[in-house]
Amino acid sequence: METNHQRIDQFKQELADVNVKTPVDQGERTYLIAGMALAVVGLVVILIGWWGASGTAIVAEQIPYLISGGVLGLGLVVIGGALFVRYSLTRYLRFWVIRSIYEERAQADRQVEALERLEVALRETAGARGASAAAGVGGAGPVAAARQAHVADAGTGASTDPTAF
Amino acid sequence: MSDDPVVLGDVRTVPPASLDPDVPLLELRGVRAAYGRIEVLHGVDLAVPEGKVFALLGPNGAGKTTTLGVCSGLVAPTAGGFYLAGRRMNGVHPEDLARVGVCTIPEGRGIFPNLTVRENLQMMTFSGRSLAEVEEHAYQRFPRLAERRRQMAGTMSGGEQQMLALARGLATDPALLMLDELSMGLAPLVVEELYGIVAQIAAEGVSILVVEQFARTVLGVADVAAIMVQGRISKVGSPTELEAELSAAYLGG
Repeated sequence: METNHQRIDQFKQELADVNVKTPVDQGERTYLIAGMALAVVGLVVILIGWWGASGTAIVAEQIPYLISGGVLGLGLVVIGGALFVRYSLTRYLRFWVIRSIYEERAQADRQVEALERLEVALRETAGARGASAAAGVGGAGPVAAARQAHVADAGTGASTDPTAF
Repeated sequence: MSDDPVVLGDVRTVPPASLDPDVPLLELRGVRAAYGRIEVLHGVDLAVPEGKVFALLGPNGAGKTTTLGVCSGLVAPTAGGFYLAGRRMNGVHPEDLARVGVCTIPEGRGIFPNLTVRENLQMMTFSGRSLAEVEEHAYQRFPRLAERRRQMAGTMSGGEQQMLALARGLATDPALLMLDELSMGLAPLVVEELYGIVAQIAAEGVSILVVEQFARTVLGVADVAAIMVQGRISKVGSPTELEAELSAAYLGG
């Protein structure tokens, strides 16, 4: 058997290629379809009620159509509509939240990359400045030495010049 | 980016399995599972670290085998997450898991009783190894199987059958080994011998999840242990910590 660190690394790499089904919320889909179906059934019931009520001029005969067609149909439309809106909103909000998270992560990645680039640039600049500073110290050497020699000459001259008194 | 998958219309990014050794090789987070309308696991959390032996103990009907079912992809969790090396694997096919190196040795061994030892081992050549190679590894680890290579598996002793089951499992070169009730129906001495072999396998770096009902022997080889009661993990700790509480858990104390 190969050594197990290798085996575990291989296992982890192979895991990445395993196909995993995207989770689907089956209940949500069912409620969405049920909501639409209820609303459609409600509309049909209202139409039947209207058709029944319009077929007679007697108010007492129209009332059952009003109750079973109008009120029941309206109830079904309201319940169906509520279900549909509730689950559509859930879907939309989920999409919106995931989109925000995705964007946020992408933005964070971009910022980290930019900061890394900045860091590299700063390091390079600092390196270049350090190199030129080192070269600067070397260049200033003769000037400083000359200045010191001049001061020393002046001092010596002052002490040895007999006309100084 | 974090490790959670992002599902975004047709844009889907699945993070690869984590190479960080601190990420547990197997992890269950708040897993619930049911058979029809009967919920068996009520939010199980457990983590098997890389290269360690995790013992899951509990009385009959606690949900241990169902937990193994979830870990091997046979039972789909109704809620919660099943992670392998940090990758969420809910809904994975069991054959895909077996192919990458998750090996389950079921309760009752799962060997072919009317085939010989050699023929049983031959069944494992599907993993791409030759029969000679499979046999060599099996007999090296279990010399007793070599003596019985021409014997019908069903006529061997329980311990030998369990050895055959282990040998077959190991022929797939697993990264994660799951053992269900290894000690079932076996004499304590045989159980001890088998757990000695499990300790050897663990020493080679294979992560192991052992499910046991009675055997305290498993605590001797486990790095982490958990007690499961009524579909929940009631206690996780070192084997020594748990040994004292084991009786109370079984007796409902």
